[in-house]
Amino acid sequence: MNFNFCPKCGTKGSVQHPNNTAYVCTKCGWQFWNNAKACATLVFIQHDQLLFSTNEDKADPNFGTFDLPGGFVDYGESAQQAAVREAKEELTVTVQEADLELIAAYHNNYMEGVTTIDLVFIVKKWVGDIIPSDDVTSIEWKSISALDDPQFVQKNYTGLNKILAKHTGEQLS
Amino acid sequence: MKILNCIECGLPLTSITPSQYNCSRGHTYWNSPSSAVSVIFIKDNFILFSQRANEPARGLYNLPGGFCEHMEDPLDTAEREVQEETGMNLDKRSLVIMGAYTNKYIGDESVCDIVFLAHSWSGTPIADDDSASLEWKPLEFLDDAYFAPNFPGLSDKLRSLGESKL
Repeated sequence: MNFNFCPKCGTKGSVQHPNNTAYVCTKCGWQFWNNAKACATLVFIQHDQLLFSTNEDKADPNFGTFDLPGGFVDYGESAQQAAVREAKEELTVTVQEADLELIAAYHNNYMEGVTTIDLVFIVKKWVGDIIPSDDVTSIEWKSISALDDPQFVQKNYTGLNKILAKHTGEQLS
Repeated sequence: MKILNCIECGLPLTSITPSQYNCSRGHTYWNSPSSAVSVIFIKDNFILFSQRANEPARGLYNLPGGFCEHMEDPLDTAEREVQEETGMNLDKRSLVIMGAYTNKYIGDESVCDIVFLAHSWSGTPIADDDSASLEWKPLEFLDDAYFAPNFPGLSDKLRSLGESKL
């Protein structure tokens, strides 16, 4: 994050942040910890495949990459409530909190100066047809091995394929 | 809310929703919850609780843990915070995720706490840093008024692990 102005005293250029972790205003002493923000990440599983949001915009430098659906947890919201909301907003499906299983949490270098902690939920049951909406423009079902594909944008989801392989195995049996 | 002025142009911010603050030029500050970790240590049917040395909720109890810093993985946060507050060495590969709970923090800030159960660690707890004292207490204390965070359903989830752990 870039603080051109102090959010407390409004002075220009007074906020110093040597390492992106702690920010301090040299004028009024305002202090801010640039802690990671919570996000909910959704894993839909069907016929041994996972649902990804795909970038099919040929004009976009990230054309061809894919990600798991999800988004930021809002103020006052639990990660589960965010997961339910994002499932509705991005995929138009209805999910109950009781059908979410939290399986992992990973840090994600979301953008320069902003880290997110992605809470990964398996969606065990949903109602409605999955239709891309809002931030998601297109979707594709892919095998679990797609998590190791260089085009998968998340690079820190260490071990997620193993955790999911166990779960899909359970779903099949 | 500590963010009063736009960090990009210095104009005053107004709240559109509790999550979104805009200035009149249309710059947005997102007030989404920060992430933190809490770690459960179980020994002889007791859980390790930490009495808070600092505000907020000074004097009340929580679990060892703290905020996830910039570029830090939650498992690394757990190792670092346990080391800082208890002096113990935690094996992050032994952590099992138990839940995530959002609580209010200071003012208009909220925090999403990720709770891990530790299976492997070494050392004896000695309180330091944000911890005034460390005490082994029964599981029921998770639902006590002196336990600051609200982790609904966590004590039941731990009970369901069975007598091997509790």
